[in-house]
Amino acid sequence: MDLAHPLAVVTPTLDGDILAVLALVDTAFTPRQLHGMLSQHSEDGIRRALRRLTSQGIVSDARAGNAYLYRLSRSHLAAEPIIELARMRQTFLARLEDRLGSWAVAPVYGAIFGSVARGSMRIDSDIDLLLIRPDEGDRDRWDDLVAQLTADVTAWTGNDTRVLEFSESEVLRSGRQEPVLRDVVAHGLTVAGTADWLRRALPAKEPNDARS
Amino acid sequence: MPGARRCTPQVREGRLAKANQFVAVARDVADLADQAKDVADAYVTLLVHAGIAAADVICCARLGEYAHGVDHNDAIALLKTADAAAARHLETLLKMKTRVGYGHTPASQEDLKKAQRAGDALLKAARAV
Repeated sequence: MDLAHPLAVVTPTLDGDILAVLALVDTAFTPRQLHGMLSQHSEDGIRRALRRLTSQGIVSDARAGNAYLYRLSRSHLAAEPIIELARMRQTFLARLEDRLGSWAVAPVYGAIFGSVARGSMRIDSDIDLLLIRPDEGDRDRWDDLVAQLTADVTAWTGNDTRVLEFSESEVLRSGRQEPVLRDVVAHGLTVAGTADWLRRALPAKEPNDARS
Repeated sequence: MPGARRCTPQVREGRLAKANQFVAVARDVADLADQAKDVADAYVTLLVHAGIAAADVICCARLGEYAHGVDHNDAIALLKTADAAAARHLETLLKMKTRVGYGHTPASQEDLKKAQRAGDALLKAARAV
């Protein structure tokens, strides 16, 4: 699946993208405003899709001067499941946070990075997850938890899950030399621990750099 | 909304980069200081700017427009239509902005904590939208 187009799991059409925008905010949009947000689609196409959705009753329209304003009809029987689908990215991150928070061997830090974090995900993108393992703790138990999570994330999304794992001491010792960790600091979506831990673990300069 | 400006992908990306930059420099400022209270006003001011940039990202993603050159109340109202929880955090930061940036009394330890909490929450929400 593509978390940037959550309704594509049920309808890989413009209608799904429009519903995803309307579902996340209780406000009305003109077709032009929607076109600004969904610029890969034509404004005419957006108008036609809005007419289809209005005829189903899931979108309501109201005239404002010369323009029509469209919003999700929140009393419609289908509104709730559509809102749930539209919130899939938030649901995914929250579920991941809950899972990692329940681990007997708690990660020092965890974050989603790569295309999911950068908003450039595609239907066949991997889900990249960084996990920083504590130096102490049952290693076999940790490995089991990571393996189970990897399988579960793939089952939740249909995408391959790639876990990038470091120990806490590896990050503190040589993490500064790992470009991927810098990428996580800049764009990562924290799902365990705090982003501040990773940032502090990767000082921008070696202590001597300041004097040079 | 009057005063709101249409957002482009470049605006969204640029505002997120600035939010990240302000937070990173705020932390660096705090780390380099002997005592947090010595740099509390600079720290909070940077977090206020980070929060404003993060709020723009959330508005861009959800509404296709962001507050530009409008007063604080309008900015909060616009964000509220996109994310009510984020709007409360922005309100917390904007309440501190004038006092910390232009006033003569130093930011308190409580201000520092509140700004950090609000700034972190807004940045997290901006990255996740």
